[in-house]
Amino acid sequence: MVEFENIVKYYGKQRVLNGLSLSIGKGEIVSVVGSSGSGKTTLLRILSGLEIPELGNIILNDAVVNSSDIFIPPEKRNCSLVFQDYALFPNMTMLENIYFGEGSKNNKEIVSELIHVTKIEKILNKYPHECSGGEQQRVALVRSMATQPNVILMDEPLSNLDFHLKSKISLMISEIIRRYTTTAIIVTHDIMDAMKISDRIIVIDNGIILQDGSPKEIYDSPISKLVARYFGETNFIPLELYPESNHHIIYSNDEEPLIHVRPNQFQLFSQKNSKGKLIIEGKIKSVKNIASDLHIFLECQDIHLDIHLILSVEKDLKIGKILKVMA
Amino acid sequence: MNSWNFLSILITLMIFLPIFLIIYNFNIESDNWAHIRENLLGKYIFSTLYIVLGVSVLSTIIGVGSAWYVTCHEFRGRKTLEWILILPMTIPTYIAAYAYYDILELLNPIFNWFRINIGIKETMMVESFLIYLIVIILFSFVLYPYVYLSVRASLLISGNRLIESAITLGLPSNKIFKKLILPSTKPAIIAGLSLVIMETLNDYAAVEYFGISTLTIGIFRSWFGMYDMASALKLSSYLILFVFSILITEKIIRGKERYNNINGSQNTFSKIPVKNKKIFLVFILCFTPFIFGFLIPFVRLLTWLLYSSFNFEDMNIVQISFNTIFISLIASLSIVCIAFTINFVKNYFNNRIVRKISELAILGYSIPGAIIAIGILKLNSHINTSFNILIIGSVFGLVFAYGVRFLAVAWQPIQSSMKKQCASINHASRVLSASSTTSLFKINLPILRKPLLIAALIVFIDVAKELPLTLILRPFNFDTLATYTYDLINQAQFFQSSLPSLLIIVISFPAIYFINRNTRDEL
Repeated sequence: MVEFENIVKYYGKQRVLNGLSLSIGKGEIVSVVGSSGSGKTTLLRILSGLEIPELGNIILNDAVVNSSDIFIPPEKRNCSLVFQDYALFPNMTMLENIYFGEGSKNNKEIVSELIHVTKIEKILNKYPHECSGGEQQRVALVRSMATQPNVILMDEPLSNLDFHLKSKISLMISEIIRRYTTTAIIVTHDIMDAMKISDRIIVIDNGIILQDGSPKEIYDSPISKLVARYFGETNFIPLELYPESNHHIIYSNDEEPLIHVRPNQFQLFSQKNSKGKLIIEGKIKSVKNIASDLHIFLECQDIHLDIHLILSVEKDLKIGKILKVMA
Repeated sequence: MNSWNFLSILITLMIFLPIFLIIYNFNIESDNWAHIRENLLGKYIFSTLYIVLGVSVLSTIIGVGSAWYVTCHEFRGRKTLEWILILPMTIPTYIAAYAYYDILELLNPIFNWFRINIGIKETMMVESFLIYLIVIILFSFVLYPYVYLSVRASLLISGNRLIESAITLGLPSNKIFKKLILPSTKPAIIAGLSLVIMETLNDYAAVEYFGISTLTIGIFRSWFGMYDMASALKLSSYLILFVFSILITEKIIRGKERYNNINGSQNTFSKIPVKNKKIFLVFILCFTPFIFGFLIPFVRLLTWLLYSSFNFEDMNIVQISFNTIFISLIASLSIVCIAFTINFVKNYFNNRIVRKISELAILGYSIPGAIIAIGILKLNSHINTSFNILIIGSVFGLVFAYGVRFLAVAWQPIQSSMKKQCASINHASRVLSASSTTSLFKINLPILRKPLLIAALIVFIDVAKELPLTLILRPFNFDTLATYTYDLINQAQFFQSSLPSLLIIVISFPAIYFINRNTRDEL
């Protein structure tokens, strides 16, 4: 469906994409995550034709759209892009925006259904400035789907929304994309968004792919400390301290192998279930009650490490107390 | 390369052609050049440098000072001052010069005293020094609004946060100005100042009137006096060199500095209160540029109008006003269309060649009108005689010349608005597979209505005021208000010149008001 082959892109002297290769199948929902400047938005813009790479080929639906001697302009690629700022045309009503795309008027049935699913019937005759961010976001999504694109691209689609709207719209996005079996590539810096919406996550940094896999695979088995940290708080414990551990191990060239344990993988020690578990004992350095969880930092003098753990227990845990946990 | 990109490159190259021809023909032989080089060139260069330097210093002081007080301070009458300080822009330098025509006569008793008590040679030196000083003061009071507007815009964008943070840190007003405002508005000062310099270099009639020989005067004398195209081209090349060195210096000084766009809304602009004792002083300081730059020349012209015995049928003033409005309208519409199209193509297709080449199209504004006229005359000499009637002495030729000179004037507001308002929606339009024509007419044109109107108004005013270029290239028996004023002054008909002069100001007045209101709202 979509193939990136050895893509190199420079902005001035800065190399943003560094020989990146990637293949995405039909109907897949893929999230590309990475820090700012990692090259994720550039990847979308290159696929849509808004940027031209210095090197590399792009194949879309078995046709080369970008190579050293071929460049298919954006208007002929049928790759719809949902922009971070939505890019709705301010001089048009929401309905005019939706039907602006080439061929969208031939898909009236699908558009009506999309309007219904996204619950935007009431704002169709309004102008963008008269609508909320969430409404604009939904219209931008419907506008992009209205042309029945080969692939729908989304650049930080949820970044301008508040927490409540975010979870609602992220569910809606994944439902719509799945319903119409469209291929989607979503760029986001928010790992939770990526995990909620996509089937597959690609982590990129400095213009290269660090890891490519399902959300669970990457969360549980990151290939490096950088990827592990990117997916939230975590603990790295030298493997030599617990060589028998069956937790995920991170190997790297310049560091000793490390056991990777997420804070929420810990539980209070109980003799009954401790077989084969990693057991840690330490003095409570800090304890904080966040929602129904206790966030604890444990000072483990015997292994010279501070361990971060999250426990869902109702127990009186005070600073200075010795605590034994297992994971 | 598609046809839009090709068309943009073609138009850009056509607009750049007259400037290119001047630089290309620098080495052409001329009989008079040896005389000009040995006897006049030094004087031309010295006079130009002296006036440019003086006007730069004084207009910066007036422009920055007034912008600092009316934008960042709170005092009675501030809002009125904020608006009236722009009004000198409506007065062309040559009209201000005519309005102050008898200022030298006021100095006669002093010169007489000098002649009797000190000596003729010394008196001549003092006289010459005073003439330069008067021209510098006159130009500065009329041209400072370029610096004022640029600095005010910069202060409106970022001044509030700077001032709020400085006030909370306990800095006194003078330290805020020295340590924060001056460094942070440096790019704006330089941008405004470069416009002041370009306008100073463009002037022909005012310096001619005071008998100062600048490079622009030299170009006119070579062409009008001696019909010596080669010398005019050489002098033009010197002036272009001078202008380019200013542009390069501007780039170097500005470096990577840009407007400090610290988020802040002008609605919540914290102003420094002016203490009671200082209010009068501040008001007088800010009112002075308006008095000398607008009020005195305007009132003088009004008084002359009362004294003049105007016969409308004889003077044909209605026809001349119609000519001015007609040519300004045609020129502003054509120029805005071209600037809009090239900017759209640049923004929409993002073609590297178009992006680079389009820079050439806006060089014209930095080149004085007289030079552009010489470039177009040179272009005409290369064209087949059956076609050159299209260029010289025709409305088309004149509009083309205005296009070369004023494209940059329309370019700036269109480019910045398009970048701000249309960049991502043009991308959206492309990925939705809409055609470029649909994007141009259905999206960009309706969205950019206001900036396009503002650009057209600015060009309209500039064309209505333009003198040197119109004087050289106008069709036979075709007068604009500017050329008509110039002719009347040359015939010493000062009172009669007041009506066309006032009409130029009156035509510019509503446009300036509209531009000021809208650009303030846009910030």
